[in-house]
Order: sequence, then C-alpha cells, then structure tokens
Amino acid sequence: MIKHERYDVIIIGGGPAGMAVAVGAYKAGLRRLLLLERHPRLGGILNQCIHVGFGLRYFKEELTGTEYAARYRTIFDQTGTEVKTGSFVHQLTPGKGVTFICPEGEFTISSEKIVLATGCRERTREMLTIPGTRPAGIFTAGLAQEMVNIHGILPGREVMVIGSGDIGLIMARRMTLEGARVHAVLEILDHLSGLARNKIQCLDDFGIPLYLQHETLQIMGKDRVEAIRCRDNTTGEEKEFPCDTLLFSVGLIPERDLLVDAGSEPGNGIHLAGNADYVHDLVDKVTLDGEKLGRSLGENI
Amino acid sequence: MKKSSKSRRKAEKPLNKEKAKQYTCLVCPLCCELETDGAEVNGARCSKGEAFARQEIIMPLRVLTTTVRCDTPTGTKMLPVKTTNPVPRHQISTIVREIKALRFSGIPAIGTTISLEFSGQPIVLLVTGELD
Repeated sequence: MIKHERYDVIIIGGGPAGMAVAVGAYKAGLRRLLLLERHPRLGGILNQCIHVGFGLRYFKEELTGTEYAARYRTIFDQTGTEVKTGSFVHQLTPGKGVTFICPEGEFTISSEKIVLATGCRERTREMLTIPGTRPAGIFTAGLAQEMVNIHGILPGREVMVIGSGDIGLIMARRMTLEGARVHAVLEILDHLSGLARNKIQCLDDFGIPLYLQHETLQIMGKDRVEAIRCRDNTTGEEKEFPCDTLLFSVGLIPERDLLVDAGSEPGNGIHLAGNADYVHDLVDKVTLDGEKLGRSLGENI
Repeated sequence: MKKSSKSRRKAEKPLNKEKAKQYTCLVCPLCCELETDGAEVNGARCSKGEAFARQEIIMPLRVLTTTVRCDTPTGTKMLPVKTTNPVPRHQISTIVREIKALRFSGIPAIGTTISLEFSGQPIVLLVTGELD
C-alpha cells in the first residue's frame, strides 16, 4: 500500500501548501516524498473557491480557486510524490514519523522530516462568546461556502454576516446570487477586515450594507435563528435584525493540533507550511512559501 | 531595493473635475484608489487599472462565477463555471438565473466552454473545476 518504509519527507495536507512543499523538495533533489490528505481529493479549500482572484502573482493570470488547484496540480504531478488520500493523520512523533488511519487500516510511517500543511480553521461563534440561545442556522462562512459550492445546499434565506473577513464578503455575494437575502454585514472594528475590492464587488455591487463598530449582543431563536441584537458602539443605539441564518467570518487560526497533542514545537524535524504557519492573504504566497520550504528541506539533508 | 508601490504610481494628470468619479480598482489585491473623468485616470499603478477605470465610468463589468448542477450516476454534483468575458454588472442577477436553470447530464471537463444566449447577446461559460 505504501511504497517505502522511510520517506525523505512526509507532508500532511494536500492543499496548495502541501503540494508546493512537494514541488520544492523535488526541485532540491528529494524523491521519496509522501503526501497524506484526509479528503478524497487534493486541492484543499481551493476546491470550494469558485470565485476569481487567484493566481495573478504565480500564474500571471486571474483564475478561480478551482482553476488554480487544477493548474498547480499539473506541476505537482510531475514530482511523482506518493499521494495517499482518505488518510487522516492522528498522531505525530517528532523526528520519527506519523500514524494515520485510512480505509485499509492504521499505519505508522517514519521520516525525519514532517511538514504540517494542515491549513487553518475558522473561528466560531463559541470562540466569540456571544450570549443567546443555540439554535440551528449558525455557520462559519467557509462551511456555508462548502455547502453552497460543493454540495449545492443553501444554508438559509434571510442572512446576516457577522465579521467582515474576506470569506464572509465572498459568501454575502454568493448567497445573494443563489437567491438568499443578505441583510447586512456587521463588523465590531472601525475598519473592514477583508480586502477593499471584496467590499466593492461583493457588498456594494449588490446593495448589501456594511455596519462598522457594530457589536453583536445576542442571538435569538428556539429551534432556528430568529433574530440577532446588536449595538452601534458609536452611538450606543441597539438594533434588532430578523434573520434565519448567521454566517461568521471572524478570523482564522493556524491548525497545529497534531503538534500540540505531541507536546512539541516546530523544529526537531517538524516544519509548518502555508496557513498552518501563519494565515496568508493570497494563495500565491502560500505556494511560493511552500516551494521555498520544500527546497530548504533538500538542501540540509 | 524594492521600490515602494507608491512610487510606481504615475504623476497626477489634470482631470475634468465635474465629470470625475472615484473607484477602487478591482483588477488585483492592491486595490488602487482611482479617479477618472473618462479620459484620464489618476492613481493606477498599471495600465490594466487605467482600463478598468475607463470602463467602470461607462458601464461596470464583472466576471460572473457560479455553479451548474450535473446529474451523474452517483448523484448530483455542482460544477463551477465562470463567464469567459466580464458581463454588465446590472445584468448579473438575471444572467445568474439563466445559468442556474441549466442542468448537465455527466460532467464536462475543466476548460470546456458552453455558449449561451442572453437577450440576444452571446455569453460563453467556461468550466473551471474538476469533479470526481
């Protein structure tokens, strides 16, 4: 099932960062490369990014996320990296190897060099400690993106977006195009979190208001979200917005649970790539950083 | 040494202030603040930005991206598509409805183009994703 007993590098995660590390390592002369991906497909979050805005730097062309993934895949495929999809790494032993489960069973594979290319995770409503009930209808923006773009499910009809991160802005437009009504985007800070271009092409183009310095005070609803209450922190005025769906776009956190569970830090043969290292604003930069890290792994073997 | 992005901006040209409008450039993530009277453009760091401003003042155009349902033996899959050329912004909501009404049997390969007609205007869709 697995070709080698030992690998030069084991890469955990088959998104843009993981693929880029393999490309860099291959260029530096490494040949025994293993990439483990929990999903059935490579590409990571790019697979649900159907909007344009990717690749201007790396491919000198404006692509969708899905096109970027497919285009980079052709570069990655030339490395001959062994890819094991449907494989979930649940344990990591620094300097030694990883243990993963897959449909064939559980396996431990050794390598002195392990790269975490596990991306990042969205902050949730729970992390903001917003008071209120716990009804259905509360999603992170990225989860809503997966539901709409991959599964063809509209999470709700009357939508409020909490936080003005890029994914929230992109999803405000996406939900509108799919027939939902997005009432407003609420941002607690005095400035937009995402890119200015996304406010224009995702909110302004569709007449969706952005309310800055608006703090969400309470989520209401028994079985399903019915409304939210917020406060304009410039005037102290409180407002209520009826809605059936909340999308949270309130920041991203690098995913390093494997490292935390191992009681380890980066170093000692463990490397972080892409958004697991720090949250990048553009995938092009993830690719360039990943390739650089991959090359460095070959140089000091 | 890397030049600061500001220094790459061209010198300010005089604009017809009565006609002048301000835009944020949507061409790339730099988001240049543009001002144009339809002829001259200030604030752009590249010629694409200048062309964007001249177009924006006449009629804003946007690339439309969405998904089309595909019937396959293993169930319905969502296929990502984009318009090969930007479409008029004011027509986006009606064009997207036309696209959503489409239904494919099987999955066209990435790069496949699909020609549609919308109010007598040809619109070409490009398949942007690979599905299993």
